[in-house]
Amino acid sequence: MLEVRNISVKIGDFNLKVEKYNTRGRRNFIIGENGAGKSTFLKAISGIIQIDSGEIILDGKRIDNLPIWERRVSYIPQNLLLFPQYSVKDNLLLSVRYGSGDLGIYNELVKAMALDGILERNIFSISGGEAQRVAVARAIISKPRILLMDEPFSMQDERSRMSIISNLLKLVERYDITYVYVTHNVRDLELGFDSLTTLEGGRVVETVSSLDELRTYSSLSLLDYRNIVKIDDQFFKIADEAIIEEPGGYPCSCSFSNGSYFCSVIIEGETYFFTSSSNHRAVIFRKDRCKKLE
Amino acid sequence: MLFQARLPTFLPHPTSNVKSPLRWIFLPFLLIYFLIIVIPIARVLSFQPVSYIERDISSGILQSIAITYEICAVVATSAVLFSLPYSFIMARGRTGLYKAADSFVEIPIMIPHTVVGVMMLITFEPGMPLGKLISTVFPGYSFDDTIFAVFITLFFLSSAYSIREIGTSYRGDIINYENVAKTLGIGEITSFAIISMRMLLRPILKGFLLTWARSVSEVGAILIVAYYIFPSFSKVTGVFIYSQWISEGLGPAAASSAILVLTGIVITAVFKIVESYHVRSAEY
Repeated sequence: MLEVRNISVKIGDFNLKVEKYNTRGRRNFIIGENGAGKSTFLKAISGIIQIDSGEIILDGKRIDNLPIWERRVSYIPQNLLLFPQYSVKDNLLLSVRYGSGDLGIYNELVKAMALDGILERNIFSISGGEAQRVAVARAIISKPRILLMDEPFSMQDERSRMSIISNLLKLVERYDITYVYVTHNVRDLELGFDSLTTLEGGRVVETVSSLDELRTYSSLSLLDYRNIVKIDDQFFKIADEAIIEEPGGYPCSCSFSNGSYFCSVIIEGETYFFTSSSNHRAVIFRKDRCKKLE
Repeated sequence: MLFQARLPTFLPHPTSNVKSPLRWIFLPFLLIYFLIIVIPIARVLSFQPVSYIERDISSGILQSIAITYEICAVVATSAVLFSLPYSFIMARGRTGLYKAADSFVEIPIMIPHTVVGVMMLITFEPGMPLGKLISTVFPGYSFDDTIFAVFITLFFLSSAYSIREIGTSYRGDIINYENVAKTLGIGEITSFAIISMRMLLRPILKGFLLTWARSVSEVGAILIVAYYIFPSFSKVTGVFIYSQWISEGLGPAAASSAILVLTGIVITAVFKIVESYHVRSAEY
């Protein structure tokens, strides 16, 4: 299990301050807006960025004072960073030759991930999907205790991405690896997760084990921006029964699509969106039928 | 694969469009630029007949070019060797102190070269504080008109080119690959050797060539610190051609210049071929 306690990192004007973060189970996801500090957080855990204070504990042992190569924390960045001077095979075998890698895992993964046909190719001649498989395989071959993934599959179409994540789940089970996966896409969570953490402005907003537990505007608006409005400085999750057509209410325009109306409403100069079973021109919201968000 | 693809520098950018009006607006500027570069080179190569240039070979210009190229190669090699640890440390510096230190690198480039010559004399002459210190370690030490004077002056003036070429590549991109290698359990020295050094080969070649070329072209500072190089009484090529022009006139100086430019073109071409070969073999 990974535990992060009171870490702080300052890079220019940006401050990452995470008081407490724990992984729960094997599948851990982190969401957050651009600039929320997700990449910085992963880099701090892996040791690529040195933390200014705090503790990072992996399986009961402090690792923040260890050099990167002794932490057994693999990191897959968004742009994968396959080593351009080496072939696919050499990329995969690098950790076996010089690091903590395992030749047995290499042999298994080459077959399991259907990489045997591209082993001799250089990395510029393989497709984006193949490169992502190579990056995942390269990380798993190094036998990490925890695998950090910074949206490495974000450039794939949804079906391919889900397929890669689904295969990844089988691999991490097989090799007993915990992973932390940064994502922007709510669909990535559909294959299940043990923890979902929201980062905002370099801070952990909340960590939950199911989507129903989400309580904050930051988290909910990231997963689905619809049906959230801000009235009198308070965010509300609105349901259909809370929407009342009212001349003189907030101006609203709707379009019909997929069996319901998709509406935009202007409240105190800001535009919000909601779905409704009816068409509306001006609305008010019954706060007692809305869920108040933190 | 878009996210990592690198194009060789000699290929046109995929978005270039022959019908672009901007292309036709910019083309005259490009032509003027090339004319400014090419015409003086063509002039120096054709100013004297080949027979005259052949006779000039016996003037000592070849020996001068040889010693100049050798010293400059040592300077460029040293600059590259210093660039690697410099880049490694500066890439990891997060405080303003590192940035302040880093800004010193370009200062030698902006100082007039005669001033650099004076600076070297008042620093390294045996009568000066640092020179005195060196004298105590190396009895009989002298500075002006020595190979050391030429070396240290050229190093001061031209090492920035290697430092910047290698440092920019390392900090911009290569360090990220090195960090990913470390997360695979590969140690620091090994990661630097098998990932970064391999990726730095091209910047190293480029940095070497830039530093070497800049050193070969130096005259002003060398005139002050080492008009002759003892004990051989040889002169670096810039000084040799300058003294030829002063004592014998434009004709012999132009002939010697033609020989220097020709050898320079050949060496630059060899470097470019080696560099492009490396690009093909290491990246494609």
